[in-house]
Amino acid sequence: MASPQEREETLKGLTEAVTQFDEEKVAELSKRALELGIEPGDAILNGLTPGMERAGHLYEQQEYFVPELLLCSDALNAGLNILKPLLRTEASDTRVRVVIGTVEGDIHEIGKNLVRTMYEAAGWEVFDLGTDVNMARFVEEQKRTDAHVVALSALMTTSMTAMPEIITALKAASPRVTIMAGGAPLTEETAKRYGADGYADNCGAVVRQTLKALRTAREA
Amino acid sequence: MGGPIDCFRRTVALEEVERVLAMPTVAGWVAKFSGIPLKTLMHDGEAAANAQVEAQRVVGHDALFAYVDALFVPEAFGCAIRFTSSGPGAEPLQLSGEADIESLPDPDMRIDGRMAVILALVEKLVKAPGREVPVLALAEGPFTTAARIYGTEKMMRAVMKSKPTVEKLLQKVGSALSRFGAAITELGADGLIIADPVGSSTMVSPRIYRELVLPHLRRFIENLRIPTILHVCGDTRPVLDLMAETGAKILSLDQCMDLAKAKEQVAGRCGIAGNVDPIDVLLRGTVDDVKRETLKCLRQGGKKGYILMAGCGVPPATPLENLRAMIETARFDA
Repeated sequence: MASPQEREETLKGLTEAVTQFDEEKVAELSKRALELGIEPGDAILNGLTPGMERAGHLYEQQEYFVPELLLCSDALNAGLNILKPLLRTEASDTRVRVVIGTVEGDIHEIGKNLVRTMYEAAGWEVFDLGTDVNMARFVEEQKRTDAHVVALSALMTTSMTAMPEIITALKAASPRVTIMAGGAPLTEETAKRYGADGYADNCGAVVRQTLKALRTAREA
Repeated sequence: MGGPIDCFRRTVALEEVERVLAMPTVAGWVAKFSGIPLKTLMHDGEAAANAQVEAQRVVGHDALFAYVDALFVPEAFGCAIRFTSSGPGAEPLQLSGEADIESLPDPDMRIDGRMAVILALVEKLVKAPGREVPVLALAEGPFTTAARIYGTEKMMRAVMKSKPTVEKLLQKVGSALSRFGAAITELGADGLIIADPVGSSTMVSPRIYRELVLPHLRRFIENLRIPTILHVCGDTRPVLDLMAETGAKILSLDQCMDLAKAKEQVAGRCGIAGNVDPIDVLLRGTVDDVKRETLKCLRQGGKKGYILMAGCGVPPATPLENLRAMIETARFDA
């Protein structure tokens, strides 16, 4: 059983290794975490994920750019590959289910893919519809999977204008679904105006913001 | 006091002019205006040329644009074109390492894919009867073109993890672009717009720009005998100095950029163009909004080394009266 100090050191090491996109170090420390008896969920949530949040901040500060973010998410995945299989599996109907896609007319996917990685790191079940997804497909997939969350991505100012209609249709079909909206041309204000329940301005913040939106919906 | 062709020559030489040229990039807008399906225009040089000539007659801007879309270079390399509701996209080729790049055939930039159509479009516009405005072709830069061919997400990883592979691809793409450049110069095009969105600071760091974007762009531009307008979307403040080293005569800037500051920063090395907001002003604004924002740009740009453009491509649904208001504001601001 790991001492508090060992746990803290290992988790801190994981966070740094993710931020420094050091896949080997992340794999090494993930194995060490298991050897020390640290819960896999703890190592993921408090070790790996903060590393990606830090990478998101560095992107905002224009110190990290898209290549760095992608390599950080690769390092994150190197840890997940070791830790996830050993997670105490929750019954699948208690895991958060997310449908994600880039909206119609838009074929950009890097941001969406980074967000998907974050949701998977949180242990959630993600249904990725890909790019150029129209309203009907979003609605159909949300109903098919009974997803708690639908995450909409748009990278162009001309395609984000498809969001209000998609959000209206999703809410009409499933009034309790939580909608997240994001992408470079969006702001929190725009997302709200479109009818979204939540927004994150970088992939590092996505799980936290989605949990916030889910909590608000539950309390409403 | 010459017409727009002479004015263009003087503008790129950073000489003072009496009237600033208005050259919003309207290829997409022209396609819609013509009523001819985009797919048809992409494959029919004559129809595309007629559409450009007619639009120029109605709108009055100072250029004929010898392109319909930017994907003809990836297509010449073998990429398939896929259509969404917002237009065409290129499917990347399945390429892995250096060996794959080496065995990629060098395209014939006169006949592979749609090259013959593009060159026919350039030729028809250059020879348009009574033409008074410059003919501008367009191509994406080596870095962006390579991203289309390789896959953008793959490329973003590769610039960190497989630089030699990226270098090889950039060399191959750069050579193909230079052959394209020679062909359009021979046909009499007056200038080339180079769009390089994947080089933007929203995507890659200034370090990657310096190491991978700049060298190939500079070599492409050095080999060209006609002036270039380099357009990079988004916030390009981190790389503006590097863009000024490419040899491009004019840097075309996004609406988020401060024209006056940028002009000062690159003074003596090149000129600038831009940057009326294409969405909030041209597409969604009133005629008064357009006039006001156009005047603001004209004040910031001045009469030396400046071309009035939009911050990016003019949306196809932009009202004709808004476009005309932009052009007329520039015309009567002498």
